[in-house]
This record gives sequence, structure tokens and C-alpha cells, in this order.
Amino acid sequence: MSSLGCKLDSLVPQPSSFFETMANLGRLIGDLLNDIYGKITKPLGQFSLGSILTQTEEMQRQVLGGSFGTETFNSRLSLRAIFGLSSSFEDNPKAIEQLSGSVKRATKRKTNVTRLIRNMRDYDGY
Amino acid sequence: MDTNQTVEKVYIDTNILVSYTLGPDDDDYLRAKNVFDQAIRDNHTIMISNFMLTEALNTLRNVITEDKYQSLAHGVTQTALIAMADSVEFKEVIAEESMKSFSNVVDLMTRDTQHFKFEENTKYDGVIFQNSLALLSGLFGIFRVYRFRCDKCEQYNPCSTCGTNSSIVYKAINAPDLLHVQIAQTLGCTKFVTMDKGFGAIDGIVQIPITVL
Repeated sequence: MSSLGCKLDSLVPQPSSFFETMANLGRLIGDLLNDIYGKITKPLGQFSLGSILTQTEEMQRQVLGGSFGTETFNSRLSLRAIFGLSSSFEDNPKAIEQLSGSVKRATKRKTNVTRLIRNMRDYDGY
Repeated sequence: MDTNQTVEKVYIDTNILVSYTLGPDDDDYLRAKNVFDQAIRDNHTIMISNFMLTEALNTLRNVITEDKYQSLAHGVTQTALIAMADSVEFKEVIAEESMKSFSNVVDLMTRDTQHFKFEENTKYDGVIFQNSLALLSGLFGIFRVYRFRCDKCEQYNPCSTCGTNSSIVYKAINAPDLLHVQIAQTLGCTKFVTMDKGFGAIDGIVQIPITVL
């Protein structure tokens, strides 16, 4: 269940990568230890679980982000996270073509989206 | 391609993205498609703002709701529509269908690093709202007269009580329109593309060149 209250997990395939699994495992263990030992993990410095977790996530960024360039990789991840999409994804320069007509509709009713958005912005008639 | 040539960073209005994703069943699909074809052909970067995506999601929910309404038989009563509007099932269907479609759109766009760029932690200056207000204060729109029309069968009919058959409305560039333009400028875009003719009123007045398709 996403934070938006929609069952996105059931709608979108959620393949988990090695890095995701590692990060999730690290997070789980870290939370557990923090509960039990309180401040124990903090003085461990660079060898703390938090640090290892950060390094794992950074490694994931470097590996995945390599082909994307660092500039917009994080913004892509953030956006995907909002919609419950996997953080593991491959670059696809053909996606722009696949976007055409990608919304599946129940009817073949003709629409005029430009007019619809104009009306939404004007909020007229209601 | 000339390697010294600056890559054009194009800001697209919400109508272009949504029309393209709806496909040929939208009246403006071919015009929207031109923008994406050109991005492929000339290697343009299409800039996607969070504000635009927010509006696109809302538009999609409107389209899917309208689809459901149009799929009902003619002569549907107000009582039946209220029952439908109040039902949990109806809300879930619209929410899930629109979210599934929109997630797919986001999935495709975020995978294509060659053609799409997304804003990242952009800091917006409050001055952009002041600029919009100043701009709007110097402009005045137009009045339009619309005949009353049935949303279901699309026939024009006067009011059955008073006989009035039309209404007059004020149409002009509005706050969301100006906000899109200000965002495009903040994001350093070189062109603003829309299918809404109303934007023609500010082309040449704002810094960013506006293309109305």
C-alpha cells in the first residue's frame, strides 16, 4: 500500500534488485538494533549499519545512475517512489514512442483535452 | 547534429502530454505528437515539471470519470448518478484506473533519459507570483457566449423553465497558465509549447518564447 492510499503494489510490478534487497535488509537490522541498543550504532562511525546502508544506496546510485548521469537520477527516483515504481530501472530511449496512446480507456469517446484543461483552469460552469 | 549546438530544452503544457498519452482518440493528438516527434528527430529535451504532472494526474482522473459517465445509457437519472458518485466501488475504480495509467506514464518518462528531464529540488522565488499578478493586471481577456448543451447527448437545449439558451463567460489567461510559464522560465527552458490558443496573448510579453500549436 503506498502513502497515497492506492494499491499500487498490486498494479505495478515490483522487481527487487540485489541492492534493494541489501538496503531493505540493512534498514531492517538497523531499526532492530536501534530499538535494542539505542546509541550503540552511532559510535561505530564508518562501520555502523547506517553507514553501510548509505554506502549500499550510494553504490546503487552509482551503478544505476551511471547510465543516467547524476543530474536527474535522484529526481527520477523520487518521482518513481511517489507512484510506487521500482527504483531499479533501465534507460529506454524508445519510451517516448511507447508513451503515445499509453493510457488505456474504457470507451472510444473522442476527447478534447485542451478544452478540458482550459475548463479546469477556468473552473467555469460550476 | 552539430556538437556545438545547444540542446533545446522545451517545456510542454499539460495538454500536450495528456493528449499524446490518450492517443488518436483525442482531437489534438496529432498536434501533440509533433512535439514528441520533433524531440526525437532534433534531440530536444522535454522538461517535465512537478506542477505539470500534478495537473496531468487530475486531468486523467477527469477523463476517466467522463468515460464512465459516457458509457452509461442515455436518460440516466440524477438519483442514479448520485448513488454512483457516492459508492465506494465507483471511487475505487476511477482511482485505480487513473493511477495505473498515470504510473505507467511516469514509468515510461523516467526511463527515457534521452528525451525527458525532471526538475530536482528547484527553489522558486516568490517574485514569480508577483510577476504573474503584474502581467495579468495589464491584460484583459475576452467574453464568449456558449449555448447550453447536454453533456450526454451533446444536443443544444434551452432551459426548460426560463427559456434561456446561452450564457456569457469571461475567458482569459489565468493563474495556472502564468504559473506554468514562470516555472518554465525558472527551469531555464528555451521554449514553451502549448495547444491552448489563450497563451498567444502573452507571447512576446514574457521572456520565454511561446509556441501555440
